[in-house]
Amino acid sequence: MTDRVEDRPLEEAELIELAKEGDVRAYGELVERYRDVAFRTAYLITRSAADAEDAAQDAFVKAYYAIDRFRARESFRPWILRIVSNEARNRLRSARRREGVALRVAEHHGREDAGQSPEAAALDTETKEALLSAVESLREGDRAIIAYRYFLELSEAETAEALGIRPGTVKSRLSRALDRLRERFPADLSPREPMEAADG
Amino acid sequence: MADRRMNADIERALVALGASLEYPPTPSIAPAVVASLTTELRLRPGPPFPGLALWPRRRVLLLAAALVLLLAGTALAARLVIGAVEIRVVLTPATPRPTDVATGPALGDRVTLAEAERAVSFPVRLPPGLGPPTEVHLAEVPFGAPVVVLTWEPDPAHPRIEGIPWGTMLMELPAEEEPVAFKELLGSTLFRTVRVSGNDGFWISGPHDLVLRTSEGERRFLVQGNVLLWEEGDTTFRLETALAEADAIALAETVR
Repeated sequence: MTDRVEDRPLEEAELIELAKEGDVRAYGELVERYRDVAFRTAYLITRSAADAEDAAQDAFVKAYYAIDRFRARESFRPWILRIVSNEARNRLRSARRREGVALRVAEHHGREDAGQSPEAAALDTETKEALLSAVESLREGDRAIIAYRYFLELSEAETAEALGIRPGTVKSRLSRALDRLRERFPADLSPREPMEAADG
Repeated sequence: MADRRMNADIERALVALGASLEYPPTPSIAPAVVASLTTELRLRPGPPFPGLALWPRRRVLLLAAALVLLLAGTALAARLVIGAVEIRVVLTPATPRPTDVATGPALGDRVTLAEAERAVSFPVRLPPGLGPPTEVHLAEVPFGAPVVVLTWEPDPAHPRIEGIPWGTMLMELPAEEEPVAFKELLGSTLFRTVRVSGNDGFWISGPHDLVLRTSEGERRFLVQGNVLLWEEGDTTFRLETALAEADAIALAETVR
């Protein structure tokens, strides 16, 4: 049994090692740390809260049994996201006759987390909605790589791991996806002049 | 460069959009995962039954068992599992010998491809080079999604399989906790492990029995064609063909 010195939170690597030794509670802590990104990943694919929850839950269960295969020097996040993505895609295929919910831009004032992040504030709502509509009109592969890279903010290496493709492929696919997005969204997105900020 | 700048602008805008997307509240997943694992591990004192989550262990079992079989030659009974298919090596053939041939109603209800896709919990995949299947059948199993059976007429590139009127037969089996199909091989039947698109598989050449566990009981078929079995994602594929091993694997790798 491993002592937890001074109740400090265990590092990810420690939790993984404990999980490999069969410590289900340690694994539960790991699930807690990644549940948000796992659920969001699944939701971006399934567009159903119920399916996303099932996919994330099943993925974590499967990942526990496969954790011996996880290599310590790698990052857990893309590894689990790949499993989550597979689960979510399987659910999407089995429910393909059902319409998913369209993604929406959150109402700034209605968010539980009170207020926009600086990143979110960089664009007005109307532009975001138009851009989202353009992203949604892309084919599935383009949408996926854009969602992983920018919506989930995975690095290129993490995106590659999560999608099961080579990092070089991420670069080229992303470039093509952005080209196609720009065709559908030709608006000028260059940063605005800092006039408003000067007013404040 | 203008292109680079435009890409930087759109990348920044996409990050802003991503930070503004509305998601449903994240459910509390950890307690359910812990409860599920705790229950499962308590109920199964040994290694849990190899569901899909356990494919690495199953792969180890599969490869190890195959190695033992190859080393020990034919005088050995064994049991291998790949996906929803269990392979048993038997010393003597079952009696009486099977009379079912894999054709017509014996394959299950005949449906359209669209009906099959609606009925199963996994994507039905096809080898595009063969064109649309001649027949599509659904074989109900005691639990879970039905098995999809796709058949194609023979053509010059895909000769008729001995004993049945088809040139190609592709069976797609859903992931289940227990096998829904069994292959009984005599020790003299050639089989070996192969790789199909990076996944584990088996190549079986020579007459053997296929036992399909349907909702109406077990159906036993005599198989005389070559069979390639492999697992991909949540689906187990069984390709029956008169093609040689390399050609069969090449065909299997086009299935998507």
